[in-house]
Amino acid sequence: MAASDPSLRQRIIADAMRRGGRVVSPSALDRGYWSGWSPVRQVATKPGIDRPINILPTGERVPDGADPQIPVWGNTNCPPWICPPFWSQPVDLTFDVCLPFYEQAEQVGCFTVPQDYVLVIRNISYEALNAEIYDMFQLEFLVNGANRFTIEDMLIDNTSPNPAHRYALGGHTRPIQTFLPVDRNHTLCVRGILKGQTDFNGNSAHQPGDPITTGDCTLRVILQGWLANLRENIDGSPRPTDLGNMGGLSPEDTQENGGYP
Amino acid sequence: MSDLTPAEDQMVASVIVAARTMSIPIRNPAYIDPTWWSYPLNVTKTRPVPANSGWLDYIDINSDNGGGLVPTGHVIRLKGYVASGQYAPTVSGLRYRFRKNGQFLPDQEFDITDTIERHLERNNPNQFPHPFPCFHRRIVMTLNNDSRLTLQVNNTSGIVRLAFASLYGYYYPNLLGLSKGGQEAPPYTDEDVGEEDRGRF
Repeated sequence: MAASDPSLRQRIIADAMRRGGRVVSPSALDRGYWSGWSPVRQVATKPGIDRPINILPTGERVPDGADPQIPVWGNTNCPPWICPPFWSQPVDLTFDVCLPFYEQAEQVGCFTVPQDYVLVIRNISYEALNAEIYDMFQLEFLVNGANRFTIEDMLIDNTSPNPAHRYALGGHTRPIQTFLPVDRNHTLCVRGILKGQTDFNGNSAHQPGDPITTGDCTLRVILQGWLANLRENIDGSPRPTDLGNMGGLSPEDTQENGGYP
Repeated sequence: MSDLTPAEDQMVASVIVAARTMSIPIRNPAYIDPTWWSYPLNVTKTRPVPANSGWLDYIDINSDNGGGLVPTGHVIRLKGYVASGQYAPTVSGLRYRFRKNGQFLPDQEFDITDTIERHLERNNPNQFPHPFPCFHRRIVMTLNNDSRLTLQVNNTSGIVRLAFASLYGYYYPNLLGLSKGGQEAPPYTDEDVGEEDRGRF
């Protein structure tokens, strides 16, 4: 074996000393760990600019170490709350509710995240068929009852045949962009209220319970995103909140032991 | 024969198995993409602005514990905004401006007063200037802890105008008081590498 050749071992140490490196007797584990590592030297690309490039020495023997018997490779991927993992499920929820009154909040729809998934909502669109022109409506997004955010929009063009173009700020072809993560077993609810025409401060001209006049009481909200699965798939994607520095692999680096959460 | 002890053999084998089966999520810094610990920030306003209003605070977000949308101790990362109105600005007279911590953003970097959305609506045979649907614009802005951003609107016309505005992005806990947030690892320095190991990195 090359590793047990004493002259080769001396040459390794002499080579390391010549390169100015710290001489450490390489253990077998070291050699196994660094198998495939090639000694490189660094040169400056331009004088005065400290931006080295690495040059692989030519004409030298291959570095010491056993040939890898098993090709080792790993995947890198985007976190599951940014990019949907391979095993994720698409989410395209349409919530409809009949909301025939002004200034009266109604629950448009709810979704409870399954045990083994987290939900990520990235796009929101809506239709307020109960609104007159210039009527403003508000949508609240609640996770387990806590308000994450509230958006408002206005029916601005009731003559447009395209429902995506009737509202000022959002529509099906240009949804409101958001980042709304919902943890497992949590419930996302959308609550809507038709305010009607308001003043600058959002005070409605209507009294609560004033009936609408359009004849169609539908308030529709569409949520798009994905359900990202949690751990124990070969694809990876451990539970996001369990991710340590080693993606949950290292038992020493958990939150309980003072590591990053 | 191997120089490894049986325990070392087992260790190498388990590292190989782990490397073959694991998948490493590579995460962007919190100021590029939201982390799992981030919260959404979505504010929209569709309100009538009084005639000859002067400058009014339209959307106000802050992390300075002033009762704003974001709790103190968070970094706000804006990803986009809308500053528009029902008609083209030459018609409506609507003007917008940002104030960050009480200061105007420099004109050479940020001037939206004459560039409110006024695209032509597609599929319209007359190509009538039609400023909505509003399209979101990208913005790159970070607000540290104890910061405040205000989008102000001014209706210079003599009649009430509808103003459509939005800010969206996310915010995340600022655990270390650094702009990049406490979830990020510090960069490597020479001290981390060490003199004797420098040639190896």
